[in-house]
Amino acid sequence: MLLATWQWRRNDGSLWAMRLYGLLIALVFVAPAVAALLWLPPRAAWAAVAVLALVGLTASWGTYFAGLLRLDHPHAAHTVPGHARAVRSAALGLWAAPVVLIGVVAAVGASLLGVGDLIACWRIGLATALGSGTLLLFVAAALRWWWLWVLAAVGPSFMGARVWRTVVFDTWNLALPLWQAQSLGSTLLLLALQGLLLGALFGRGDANHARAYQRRERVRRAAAESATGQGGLAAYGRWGEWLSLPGQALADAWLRLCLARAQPTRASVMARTEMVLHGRRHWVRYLAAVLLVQACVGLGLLLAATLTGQGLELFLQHGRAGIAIGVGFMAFSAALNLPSALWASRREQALLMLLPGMPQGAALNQALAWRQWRHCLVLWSSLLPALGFLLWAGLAPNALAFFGAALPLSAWLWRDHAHMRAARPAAAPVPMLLCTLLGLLSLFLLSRQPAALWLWALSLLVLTAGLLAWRWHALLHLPQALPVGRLA
Amino acid sequence: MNPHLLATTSLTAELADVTLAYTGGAPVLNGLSWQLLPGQVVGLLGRNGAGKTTLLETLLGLREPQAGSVQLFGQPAARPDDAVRARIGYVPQQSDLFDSFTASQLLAYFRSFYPRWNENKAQGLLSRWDIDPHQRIAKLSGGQQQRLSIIRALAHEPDLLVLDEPVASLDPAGRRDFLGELINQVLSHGTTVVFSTHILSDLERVAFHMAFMSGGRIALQAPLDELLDEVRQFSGSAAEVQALLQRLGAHSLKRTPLPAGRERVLARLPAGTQLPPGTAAELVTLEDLFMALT
Repeated sequence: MLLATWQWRRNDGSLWAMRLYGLLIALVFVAPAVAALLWLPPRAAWAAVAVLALVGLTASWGTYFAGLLRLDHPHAAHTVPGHARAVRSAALGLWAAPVVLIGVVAAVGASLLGVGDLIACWRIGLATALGSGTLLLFVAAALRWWWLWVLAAVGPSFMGARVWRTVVFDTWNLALPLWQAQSLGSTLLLLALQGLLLGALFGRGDANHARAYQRRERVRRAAAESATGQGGLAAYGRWGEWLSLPGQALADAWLRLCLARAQPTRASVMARTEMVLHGRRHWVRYLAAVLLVQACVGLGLLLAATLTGQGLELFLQHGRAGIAIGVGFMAFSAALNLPSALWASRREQALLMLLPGMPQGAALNQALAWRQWRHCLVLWSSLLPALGFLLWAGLAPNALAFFGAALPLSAWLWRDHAHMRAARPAAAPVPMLLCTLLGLLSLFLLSRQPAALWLWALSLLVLTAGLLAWRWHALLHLPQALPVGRLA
Repeated sequence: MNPHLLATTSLTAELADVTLAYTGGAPVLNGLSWQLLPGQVVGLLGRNGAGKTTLLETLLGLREPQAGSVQLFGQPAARPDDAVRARIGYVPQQSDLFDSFTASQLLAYFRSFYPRWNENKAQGLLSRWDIDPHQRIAKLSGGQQQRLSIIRALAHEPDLLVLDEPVASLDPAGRRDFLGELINQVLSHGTTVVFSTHILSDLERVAFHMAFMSGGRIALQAPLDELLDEVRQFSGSAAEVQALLQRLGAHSLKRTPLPAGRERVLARLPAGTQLPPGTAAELVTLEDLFMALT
């Protein structure tokens, strides 16, 4: 049962990605831990190691618990004898073992480091076990009800920091003497309660269970599709559908316009074809989303500046990293999502290729390439308000570093689509990570050497032009692009 | 005679020695040769995974074979001109396509490409088949999506209609409506129809030509009436059956060895052959033919 997570990855051929990401995460955790042990005083070093270990453990627990939730199928719970009990037992075992282990290690560690007397160390062990149990239970509950993440992230802001602090401190002050009076008893009682709550996260094979499972699976599938650039907001259910209405209305209007102006010319045919080829990633929808996001962020900043009486530049200074990465991601996604959009429409492409007027062979390859690059150009242009805003605030490196990295990426679109394969969710973040790395390097360079801005920009433009010229010629000799993936 | 038939004197489609394999796999089409004549209505039969969809996609030029040639209306199927493409209608196996369009948007979209479009027919079928024109395709039922796909393929009145399992999602009433429309199309326009399905009763109802696909080839193609008249199942000792088939000039289609030196042979008799009295020969059904030839 616990191996199911790995077996799913093995079955969809993405075990390599799990190993790669596992290695990267291990390095992210191990390197600071080793550094802490080498350079920090023993108590601080072991505290840092303990925190890093707890974070790693929590991530592993999340992975396994998500797998168990997926195994908690209502049909199996209803029809397979012992299935529900087995899933629940696996979850409880998986939760209880690290909680006990963490408690014992914390108590022994505190004793070895001479933190206090035996009773103090014993209490440290109990408190750590209780804290880690609570943390793991919260992670499990948040995997069961995704909105808990949102509540935890946004809730305190809405309530106001002072109210939140009061609630937490009042509860803490009330609970601490009780816990100190009966440390063992109250810890055991609370852990038992947590165990019961953990078991209650699984279904009983009834109608409620079926509905909850369906909702979770819909979100999981939509998230997996989003990772590969497919699907859309509507895949998330009624709210997603509602949020996608403005984009849909714009796409409908653009379709009406294209059909009203339809001519048997290549430009007209490709404009109509593009509506289907790029589907939910069509530039009209993207343009609407990008402008809407910029308007919301801009209004939010203006509102915050007005309410607090602080200058807008101050907010931009504080949020420059986030805004730069946001602008960069929007610029990257213009190029990164088109191949998956083409993949998603591959079955429609069979019908499009039979339509009179549809270009064929090299002519199609170049017509499609031009449409793709135009898509990027339109979206990059739509980011000009955000870029202008950042430049006005004197944040040129932040404005341009990530955005610039997107330019050469556009040449990646002009490839052999006939041999394209389905994007795997596990592999999908790799291009984005590479782009982010290039953006970070650019940011580092431009922050240290602002005078190099023009040279950097010129280099990127030359690189982009060179790559595009090379790919444009290559397109003449590649197999016809559509339907994509037919030669894979 | 129908004016469409007069206009089409050459073969509608011709596949010659076509071989196609997917990367790393065995050939799906293996030296396949096939001809479609104008006005012919062919039911394509084959087991799951026999390569029916691949054959239909290759016929339409959507897949490029590694060997052999495919011609559509006298032109290479891989690069048909606009005039040829205007004469083709295709209903793919998946009907949940263009799911963000509404039904009326889909029809308007396709209408914008074709020089000929029968709007009355499209609207009539939409209304008769109870499809809300303003409903998004993603929200239509599987059967409604299938019907809409059929309307889209019929509306430009094609000369070649390729249907890949078009009735899989339809209930018996929907299948009956569809077959009625198909017969109208064939009678009024002389359309060549290729139709793959597993629902044998539908094929029997319309009395198509049957093409049985097996081993990457068309194992047999003939009118259904002829097959039911001419194919018989013979059982007996191997020597007796062999002698009988030789005497009748019958062509053996499938031999199945039985215990004790006996065998069962499915054989096609020459047209008009009268069996000698007392010959142990059984009539066959389309299902028998399907089981034996695919």
